[in-house]
Amino acid sequence: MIEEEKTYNKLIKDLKNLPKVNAPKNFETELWRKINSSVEEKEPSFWEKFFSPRRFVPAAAVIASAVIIFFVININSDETENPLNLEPKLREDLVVAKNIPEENIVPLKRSDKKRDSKSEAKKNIEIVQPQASGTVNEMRLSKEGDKLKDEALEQVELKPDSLKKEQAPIVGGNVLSAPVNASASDIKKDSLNFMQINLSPKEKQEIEQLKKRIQPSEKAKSK
Amino acid sequence: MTDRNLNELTDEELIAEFQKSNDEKAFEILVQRFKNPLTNYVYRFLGDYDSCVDVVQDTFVKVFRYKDSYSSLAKFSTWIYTIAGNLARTEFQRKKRRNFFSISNYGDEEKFYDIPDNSLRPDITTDSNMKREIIEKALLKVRDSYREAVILRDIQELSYEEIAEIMQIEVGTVKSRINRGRAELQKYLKDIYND
Repeated sequence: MIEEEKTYNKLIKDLKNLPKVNAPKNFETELWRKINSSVEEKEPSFWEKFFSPRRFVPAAAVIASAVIIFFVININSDETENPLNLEPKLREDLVVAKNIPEENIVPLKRSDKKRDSKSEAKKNIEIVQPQASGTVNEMRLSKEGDKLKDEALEQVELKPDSLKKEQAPIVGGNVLSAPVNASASDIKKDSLNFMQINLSPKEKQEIEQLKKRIQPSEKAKSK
Repeated sequence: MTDRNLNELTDEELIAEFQKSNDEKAFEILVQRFKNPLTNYVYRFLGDYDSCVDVVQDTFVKVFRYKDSYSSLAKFSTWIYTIAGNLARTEFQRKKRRNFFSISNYGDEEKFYDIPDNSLRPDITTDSNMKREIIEKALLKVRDSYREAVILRDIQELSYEEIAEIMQIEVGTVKSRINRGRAELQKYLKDIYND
């Protein structure tokens, strides 16, 4: 270190010989003025600092933006389809046919009815009786093979408003040809058309022939 | 305690008296003792007298307000030099930011603007006042940390240990910084010390 000081000997000497800079004459006066002014400025306490409005500005801004974002998202969510709030769609397959001639209504056979599942029957059956007061009266179908229908009919309920309107009984999407004020005993199975199939006599004959062909083969299989 | 007795006390005893009895006379004596050395130190670091006086006054304000934070384990001079050094550094950085785009003494540490100056000609530098001015300007060009170490050692004539305590670095680092600072300074003053 001494060697290094020798290297910079002249420089060190010049630095030491630099004139000393002194404080101004009014240094103390100015100093006391500063001290007094700084003492007068009362420093706020910890709790004053903690609850100062400046501290709440960022927090308030965050809360405000959170509320805005919440409402924006909420509004957007209303636009999306909520499956639970959707109104039921009108069924296009439910066609109300009026003035169907009685001859076109073909009674169904028992075997044909069995093909339809219970659930399908529940879905497709809707019976309206204008004179009912709150629930649909039991429709008694005249024949034994209509148990499936009876089960479905028992589950159907009607609202009073809908009862005010005069509507023809609808079964399986077809309007029954029975008069509106007919009693339940008047309704017969033969007059109901469950399959919505209007066949010409020629077609009926063809079907009968086919059935005759099929029946012997089925009997043979069962044996 | 009488004024005469107070004047006989060391720096550490004066600050202890000020802490204990809040005696402003003790504080005033400390101001009397340190106002000129601190002014010289801060002026050599900043190169601006007005700013230097403000920094030294702020140093004493801090001593007055935070007198209780002084611990008797350290020397009072190192404590007050540390406060003054920190404030001077802050002021220097503030000035440097302010004069960022201007060509001045507070320019970038690494890059210097070579402005042709006839006063740097060797034949003119014979004048001692001129020489002093050149040294002062060159000193301000030296990197902050090196300059502080060189000022404390070569101008304020403090020991390496005291400088290490003031700058809060190791003694070895102090020596290294002083050496590098001197080398840098000599580089800027090559026209004077070329022989």
